[in-house]
Amino acid sequence: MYILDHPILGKKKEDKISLYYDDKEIEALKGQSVAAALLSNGITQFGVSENLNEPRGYYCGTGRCYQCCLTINDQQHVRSCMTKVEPNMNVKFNTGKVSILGSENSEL
Amino acid sequence: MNCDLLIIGAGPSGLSAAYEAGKAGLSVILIDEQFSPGGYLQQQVQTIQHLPVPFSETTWRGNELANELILRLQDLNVRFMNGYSLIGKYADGSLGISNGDNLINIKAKHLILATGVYEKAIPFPGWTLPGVLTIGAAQILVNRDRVIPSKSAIVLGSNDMAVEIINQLKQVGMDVLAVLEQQDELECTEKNRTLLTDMEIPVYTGVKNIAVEGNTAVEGVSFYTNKKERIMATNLLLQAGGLSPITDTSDLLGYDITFNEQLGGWVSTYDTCFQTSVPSVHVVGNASGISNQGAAIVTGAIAGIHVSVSLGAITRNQAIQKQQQLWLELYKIEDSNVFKERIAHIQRSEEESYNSPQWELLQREDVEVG
Repeated sequence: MYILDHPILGKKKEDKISLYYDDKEIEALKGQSVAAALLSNGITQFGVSENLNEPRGYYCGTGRCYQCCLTINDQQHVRSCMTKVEPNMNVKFNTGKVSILGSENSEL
Repeated sequence: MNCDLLIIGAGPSGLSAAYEAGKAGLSVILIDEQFSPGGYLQQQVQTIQHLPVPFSETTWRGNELANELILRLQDLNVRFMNGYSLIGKYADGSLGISNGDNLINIKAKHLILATGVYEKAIPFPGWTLPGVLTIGAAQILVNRDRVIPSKSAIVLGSNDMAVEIINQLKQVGMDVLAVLEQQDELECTEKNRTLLTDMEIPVYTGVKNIAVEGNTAVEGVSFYTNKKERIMATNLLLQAGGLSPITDTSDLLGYDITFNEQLGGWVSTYDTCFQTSVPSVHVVGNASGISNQGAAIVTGAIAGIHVSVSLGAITRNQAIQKQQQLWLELYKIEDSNVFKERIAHIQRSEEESYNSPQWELLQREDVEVG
């Protein structure tokens, strides 16, 4: 849900952007964070935790907790709350395991 | 890159420090992790109270004040670098900043840390489920990103920041189903307690055994109050755990920190010019103690002036005069308990005798402290 007409901030130009989550096209507004875009499309679970595979999502909004991480344009572990939406961004669920320097194993 | 002053954090205190240093002709680099400057002011749509002169002469909403603080810098030698974090220190003392793609070496003569605050978490069973947010995060969504995270929410905590944000959530049409407070009394002021009553929000105090239920996201919260268990359905639980200064860089940069409950937790030690135990490093704004936006502006300015006089860009007399005016402003606009604690904190820091200038202000008879 967008607030296009905010009671205090006023109207915002409907500058829509399309991006992809899980290969499906979703809509966002220019200037939003990727996290906000997912939330406005009803997506609350962004990934799973590394060891116990527990559901994870947006929590602090300021880049400190790292629970909003997603794979964005093939880069893993990107804080979606700190990333602005760009047209045609390719966003994927965070599987929890980060591969470093192309290694399959995340024991590094 | 070289500069006279590197400022970490482009919230009100960092922007204010940049203004003073920039006005004195210094070269300033101002970095912030966020993709736009302004700090917490960006999402604060309420009218900001207790501002120093000249801001007190106009009415400012948070986002408007942020714009003004940014606009003031436009003709000064201040370079904004959004999306950059301080990530390390080189052997020669220069600093590394990065936005994830670029790594830049900065050689700065002085450093001001305007890193602000973090919200304290309230852990309980289920608190890691999607749908549990800090209340500040909800404010960012609603006021910066223009997204409503859920039609309704339950709030855990009852500080003044919580009540302010609850008011904003209601203004955009969200329903606040309850306020849960673990202490026996609500934490907010009398005025805010009345506001909660006027908003007809059920309030539960002495709440124990909070737990959140849900499979892949929050579906409800259970808690004990008045010896009864209650269960409320909700998709959103907002934690108002309170604010604490960010001191992440203390080990890296070598400045001393100390625990001070009244100032919000771990906080740098500093002198009357906000200089830490490392002479070229200052800490300002909420990072120097939890206070209001006006205090952030004033403390940033005091440090900016200190850097200016240290580099010979203004005279000592000019610096003393301005800083005394600023300290008087701070005394007027800051909560008196916080101000008293800040003075005591500075006195204790200065007793630990490290190199700090001694201004006569604290000995003046017309300023009552403690």
